[in-house]
Amino acid sequence: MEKLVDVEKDLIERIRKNDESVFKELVEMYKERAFNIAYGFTHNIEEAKDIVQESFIKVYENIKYFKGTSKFFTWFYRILINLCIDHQRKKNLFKIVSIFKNKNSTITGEVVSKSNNPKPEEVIEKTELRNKIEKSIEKLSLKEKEVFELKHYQGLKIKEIAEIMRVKEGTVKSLLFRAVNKLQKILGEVKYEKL
Amino acid sequence: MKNCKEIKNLLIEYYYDEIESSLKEEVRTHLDSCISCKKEYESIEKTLNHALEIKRPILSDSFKDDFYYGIKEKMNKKLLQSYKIWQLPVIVSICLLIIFVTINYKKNNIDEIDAIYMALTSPEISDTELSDEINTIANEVIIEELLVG
Repeated sequence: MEKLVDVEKDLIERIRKNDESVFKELVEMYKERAFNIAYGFTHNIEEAKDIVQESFIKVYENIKYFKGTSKFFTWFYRILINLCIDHQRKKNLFKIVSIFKNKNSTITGEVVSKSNNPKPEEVIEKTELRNKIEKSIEKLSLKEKEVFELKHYQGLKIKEIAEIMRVKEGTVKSLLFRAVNKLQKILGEVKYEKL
Repeated sequence: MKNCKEIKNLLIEYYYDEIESSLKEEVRTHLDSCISCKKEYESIEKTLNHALEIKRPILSDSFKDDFYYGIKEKMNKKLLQSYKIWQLPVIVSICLLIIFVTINYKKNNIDEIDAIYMALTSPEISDTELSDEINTIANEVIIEELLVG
């Protein structure tokens, strides 16, 4: 972890000196993880991509203000999360519901069944469960969703999440607790035994 | 020793292994002996394990390649827009300056013409004095035009 921090420090210094190749390196280091976080909020590939690109642009424009008092990824994730939250707020305000799915997407990857030859009933049940879980995550508040995304999908420590969100660790634990309880209640009808 | 309520509050941290080792042992021992807490933990475990089954899209190679160029394009667009925003006040300022200089120049010329007219129509000035006055003003105007030209 210390080696990574040194590498980051070196990259940041060189970006400040307008070294474009280094900025590209930084984008490569973080883009997939950033995309996963943004997708966790938007559930839309193009919107997630736009948000992540915008976050890297903000990093480039504001790198001179990064003092190094926190880790780079903490600072970067804060920018990213703020953009995700802004996006969600705008979406809620205008209540835009996307009914068209992008069939020409270059992205692949769906829930994969563990068995090599899944039965049709298994596939349908898995799809239904996945939809139910996605909808239940949508019902979380923005803060709960933020904590759940960073903890459950990104595997960050509670301390790291508290730094990113600029709250106390107790607040993170409380939000996580509420998020999991909500999911339990919403998913309570699902019969896990069949899967 | 913690009671069931306190143990249930720790179950999520226990699941994520973000609990002190001494507490971890206490929770484990409690779960071995308390059916209610054990059921609660199993419910949390199932919920969170199923949430993990939601896979995120796998980025294709072409997506990865286009991503950085997308960033560059957006940065260039922003730069162009900010340049255009700065251009407008500069253009307006230059136009205002030209208008101001033109008006000022014309005003100065009109003042000269007024002076000549006053001189010509003043009854107190003799013909000789008038002629000298006109010559002086005419010379000054000529010199000024030569300098400006």
